[in-house]
Amino acid sequence: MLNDYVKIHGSKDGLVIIASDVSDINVLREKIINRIERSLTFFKGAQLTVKVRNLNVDEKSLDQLKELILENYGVNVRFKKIQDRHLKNVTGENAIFDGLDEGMTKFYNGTVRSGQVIKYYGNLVVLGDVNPGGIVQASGNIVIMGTLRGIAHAGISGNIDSIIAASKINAMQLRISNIISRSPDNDIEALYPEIALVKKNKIIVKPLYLYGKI
Amino acid sequence: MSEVIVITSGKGGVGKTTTTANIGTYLSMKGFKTALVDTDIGLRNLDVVMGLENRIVYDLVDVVEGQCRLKQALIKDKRFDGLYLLPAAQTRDKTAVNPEQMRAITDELRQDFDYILIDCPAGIEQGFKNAIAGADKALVVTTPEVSAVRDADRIIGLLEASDVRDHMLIINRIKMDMVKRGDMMNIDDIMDILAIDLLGVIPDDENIVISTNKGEPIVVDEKSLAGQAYRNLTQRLIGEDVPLINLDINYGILDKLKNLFKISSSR
Repeated sequence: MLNDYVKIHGSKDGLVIIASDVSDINVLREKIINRIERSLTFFKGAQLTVKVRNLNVDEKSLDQLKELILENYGVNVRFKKIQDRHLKNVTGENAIFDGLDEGMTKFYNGTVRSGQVIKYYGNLVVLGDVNPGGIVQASGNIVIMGTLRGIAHAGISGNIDSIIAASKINAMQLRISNIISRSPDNDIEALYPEIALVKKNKIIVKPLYLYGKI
Repeated sequence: MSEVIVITSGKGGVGKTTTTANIGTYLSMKGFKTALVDTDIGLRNLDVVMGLENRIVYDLVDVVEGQCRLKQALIKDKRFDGLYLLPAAQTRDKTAVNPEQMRAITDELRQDFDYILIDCPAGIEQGFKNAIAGADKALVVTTPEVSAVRDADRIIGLLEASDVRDHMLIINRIKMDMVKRGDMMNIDDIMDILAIDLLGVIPDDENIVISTNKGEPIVVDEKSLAGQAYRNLTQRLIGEDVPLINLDINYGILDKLKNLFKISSSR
């Protein structure tokens, strides 16, 4: 059906026709013309963008098609290949996130309270505290601009190089990838920003100002 | 032979969790294998009172949903062998578990433990129904306040309707000096209304607050009056014949203490 094939909506590119896979220029021509003829007055003089996911036709016949439509209907057509929406460094549940230095990042504004879970596939920055019982999870790094008193889990999809940094780390537990460490029972409160990372399969916490120096 | 005991009250803040922690700890000190189960999903506290909060990886809901085995979720106590905690989930609510699933869990725990204590949430909704599902026995906690006694009465009615017929009363946070002055309900008043067996009376004690904050149950404290009351109460629970603490004598000791302070302050 035609309706399945082309959808029309307005955007900054003018009117947009979205077509699915095309390998035959004749089929494409027929479909577009068909569509324009059905509502000619509507299309007249408009900028028309045709978005096609897979366009396996040569440039020359495309140009011919453009000319044909412009002459016969006065409609200016542009062809555009659709990129499948695929953001760099955003990974699904099971893929390892590789954007630790530069990648998708979520900023969470506020305090993560007991029972709340903030989960993101990418890096996570919390502009606030994480209270006991609160959980922050990210497939990349976690940075907390406040005190971490709850549980932070970095590298949930398996990146063991991810880090957890906070203005104060007073966490119930730190988890990186599949490694867990819990706070010592006689807790000493940290007075400076710290960073947690994995070394020799163990999570270590050290002052942030020493990070990268040793 | 193992026994599943639910600690419940109806009203919140009367000391269910503190009672669970203390009875459980003393049972394990007595050599019984004991499991504490927190059913207050979404508002868990038993782990904090036991000082085991930072050890939680899996919880009750994970067990129910098959994310882990029961043994993986059980946390071994840091002080006593044979004492384990099954924590509640904090990120979910009471509807994450149903009474059949609770019964399955308590039945599995029966194979390994002598006593299974279930810390019930406040209220009479799903959390309460979950908590009492697998229980053989109920301990009803109340304080000497009309509102708490009213709720305890309602709970006893619901327990009877749910076929938990073996229940006993714990009166918590009693202040004998106030009772003496007639400002607080006395034990007889409460027993008159509720008409069930009394397991024990716990005096009000500031040290409870300290022990709760430190994550160390007060039964461990040899000197504490409330700790002594919990020890006696637990001994009675396992069938030993221990008389109720004569709180009048304790009042006397307190009185002497007060006098002592008066003397020292007058100097």
